[in-house]
Amino acid sequence: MTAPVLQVRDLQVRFGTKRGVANVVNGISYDLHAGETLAIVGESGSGKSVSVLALMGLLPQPPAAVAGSVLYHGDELLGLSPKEWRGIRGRGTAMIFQDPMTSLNPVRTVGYQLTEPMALHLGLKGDDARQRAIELLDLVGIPSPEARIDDYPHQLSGGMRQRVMIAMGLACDPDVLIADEATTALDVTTQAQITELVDELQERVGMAVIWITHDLGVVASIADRVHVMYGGRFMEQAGVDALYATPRHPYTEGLLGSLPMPGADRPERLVTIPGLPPDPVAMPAGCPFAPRCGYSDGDRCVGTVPAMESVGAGHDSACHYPLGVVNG
Amino acid sequence: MAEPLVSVRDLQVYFPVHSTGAIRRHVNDVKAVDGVSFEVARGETLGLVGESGCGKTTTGLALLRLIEPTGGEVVFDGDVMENLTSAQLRNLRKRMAMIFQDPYASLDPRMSIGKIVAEPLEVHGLADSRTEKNHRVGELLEMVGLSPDYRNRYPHEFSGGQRQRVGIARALATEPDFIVCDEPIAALDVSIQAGVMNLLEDLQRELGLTYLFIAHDLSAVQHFSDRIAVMYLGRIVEVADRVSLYEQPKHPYTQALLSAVPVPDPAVERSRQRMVLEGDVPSPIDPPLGCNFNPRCPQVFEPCTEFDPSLTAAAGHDVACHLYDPSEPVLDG
Amino acid sequence: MSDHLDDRLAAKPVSRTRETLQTLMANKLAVAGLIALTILVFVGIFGETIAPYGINEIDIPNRLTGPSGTHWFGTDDLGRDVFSRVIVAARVSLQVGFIAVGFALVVGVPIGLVAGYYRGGIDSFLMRMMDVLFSFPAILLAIAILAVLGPGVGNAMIAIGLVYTPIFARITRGSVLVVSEEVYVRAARSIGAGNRRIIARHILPNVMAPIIVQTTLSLAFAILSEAALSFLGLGVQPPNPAWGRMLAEGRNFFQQAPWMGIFPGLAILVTVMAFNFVGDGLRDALDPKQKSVIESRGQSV
Repeated sequence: MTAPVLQVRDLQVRFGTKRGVANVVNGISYDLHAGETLAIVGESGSGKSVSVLALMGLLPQPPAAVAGSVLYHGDELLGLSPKEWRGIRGRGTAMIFQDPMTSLNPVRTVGYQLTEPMALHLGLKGDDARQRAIELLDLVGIPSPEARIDDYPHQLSGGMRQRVMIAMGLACDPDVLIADEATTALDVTTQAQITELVDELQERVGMAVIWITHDLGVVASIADRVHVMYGGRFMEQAGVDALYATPRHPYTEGLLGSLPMPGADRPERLVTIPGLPPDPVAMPAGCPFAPRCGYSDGDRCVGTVPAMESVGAGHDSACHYPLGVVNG
Repeated sequence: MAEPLVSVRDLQVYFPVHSTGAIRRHVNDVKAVDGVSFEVARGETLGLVGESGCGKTTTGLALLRLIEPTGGEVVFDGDVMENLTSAQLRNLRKRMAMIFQDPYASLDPRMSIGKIVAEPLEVHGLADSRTEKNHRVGELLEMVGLSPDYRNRYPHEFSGGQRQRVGIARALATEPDFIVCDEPIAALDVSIQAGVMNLLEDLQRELGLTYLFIAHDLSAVQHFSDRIAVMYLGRIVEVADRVSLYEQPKHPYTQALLSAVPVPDPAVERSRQRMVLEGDVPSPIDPPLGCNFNPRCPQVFEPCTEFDPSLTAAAGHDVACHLYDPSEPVLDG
Repeated sequence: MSDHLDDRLAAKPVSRTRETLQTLMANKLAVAGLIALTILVFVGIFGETIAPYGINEIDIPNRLTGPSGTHWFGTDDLGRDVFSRVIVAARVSLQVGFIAVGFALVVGVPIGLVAGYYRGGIDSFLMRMMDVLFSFPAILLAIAILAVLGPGVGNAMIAIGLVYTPIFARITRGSVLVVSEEVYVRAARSIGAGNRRIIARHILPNVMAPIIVQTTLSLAFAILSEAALSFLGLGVQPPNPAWGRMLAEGRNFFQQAPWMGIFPGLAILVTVMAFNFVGDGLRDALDPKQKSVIESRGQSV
């Protein structure tokens, strides 16, 4: 296997708040390889979005404090100066966000916003930049891009805007694309268009994608590998098939059980997870899921954070008593 | 089907569009709901599914007269709501309630949750004394799984799921027969959604409630409903029981919607053929001639661009599509 | 299965009012303003008892003497004690401020509520009336009103009140337009609540924040307006003391006896600043925008 594009090691993010220090990301590690799609699934407050903002250098410090290591093609990203960051962001890595309306500047045309980073990173100007912008709009499936390039964001539909965001992300040929709840605000039919598009682009351009979402349905349709995040930690990580077929962590099992499955036969009741996610200011000492977990032993689970351990080929679970695995 | 509790006939809600400038002229209408008819039987759950902007929420609001319909009528348990005086209408509000999408916005931040739940009792004079009111509020909070001790707490002290439970308790206060649930779980976290869905199901069983369940999430609607109506651009395109809608969707839009819903099972996702729709939903100000879906429909043929298909019944599975229309097409108005 | 409240819930219910007060108390300037206002109100009530001399005790031999142990703020051209007069004048300034702003509140807020809630024709009618009042420069309008009604404290209150009415009507209407679109208002309607109940129970409590801030700031300006009117001889009539009048009288003796103008001027300054500090503090504590920024930051964490 080739060297990973991105290596994240023990990434931690804390925030100083009025109530005390919030431990939002508490040591997550993963590798991202060229051409793969890695999904980070979690509920709101799990730290999933903050973790990618941190590795993109997009968190203002303070109030945030970021620790750990993020290697991009072997170079450390944490601690770069803003100037050094500009060279990487856009050029090497790109990010698309949940709300394309607020991520686009309402008083500039689509074309202006597309060509601006080109001048910065590629030295493309004038007609060349415009030509490239039209190509990009075409690439992301916007009909009659020659006309659309002079539109303002409010003249486009939500799906179109997200396509423009993706085109902006692709403008400088990044090899890592981070999609942070990129389809959450969209309707299902539009969502299908966008996931399909990213899939297609990935095949053509060969970039690696980190897909941040709370939607296990979307994950099943796009991901190669999945990390399940809760309370700022990974609970379980596996290839997408293994994760859905044989979840080895009680939280994953609970999440999957709580989903209504489309189909003819309906289960009597959905599985529910009692309680609330942990408060980042007062993280439990042991497993963050222990207070809500039906399998908790009330002792080791509450007292010691379980380490991420292998429970199968390419399948790890951070649980003292991983499901379906016989041990002590 | 027995006498329906609610029947909606040809409901229309148009929002006028005015020209900008010194003189405001009425130039056009946004046809948010454009001739919608359906019935909800006592004790059943009708799911109303569609994408944003299709008019499903507006339908729910107009049904409860929270916005004035432009046309059509709503019959609730034999009473035509349009014919009621405002006093009669307020009285009828006791028997119907609504649960809103966003539990952060639907609770008054200045009121304690006890006051919020008590308000319907006060409005309709349903509690004779303070003690009786307090007792009933406690009962309602318990019913939705909240401790009555929280009655003096304010909404912002609670999580989204808990707030939605407060919203449900408020809806139940007047012991209504019919509840419009407008995207009741869309704003909640995955692990919280299931709890609220189960609660709504339990309440239906215990109290014999009738639901109109409005949602964009077809999986949730399918789980929750007995029958499902699919809306597109202000119209209902298909109505069927939950199993036949899933197993034999007739309308091309329903088929596309079903195929777009991501299924939390990678094996299914890999094997199935996804039907990705081209383009966007047209503007409800200027809907296309003929069938509203024709610009995006993969099976469009001659009559679609000229004639408006009507919703035709066939053995409990209604569809508004020329592919299934045996009768002569009618000229579009 | 029920959600259980966890231990992060405070021991006592946290109402928005409590939160606001806590934030306000953390603001040093606002606390300083509050202390100054408390003293001022105390002085306003008990001024005549505290004052070492009578306000009209004329002492010609000791006229225009500078500040000293016997006359802290010196004496004026008739030998009256400036300290006593400044203290006693606090009452009339506060009275005019509170009553004028009270008038503006009682008239302006209901106009704003009705205009913003019902909209349409009644809104246009009421707000055009307010626009007419608002289109005159404040002090000119007050002078014009006093020219019609005749000078005097009571008329000054009405004049200032009228000048501030459109401000309250506008602020209220603006907030009502926003709040009446809130889902909880629709929710109240869905349970059958009538318009009056919705306005009283849901709209008014939720538009109070900007009104409270505006009230505090308006008090400062009303007191300033009263001083200006008295300065011009249209407000408090001689021989009763008023800061504005004292300033006007002091102007003639500014070379010989600057204390005659400086001390009433300082009194105006301190009062206006105190109200402004409290008003700014309240705005910071109540401002929903700033608050939501803080809250959303808390949630993303």
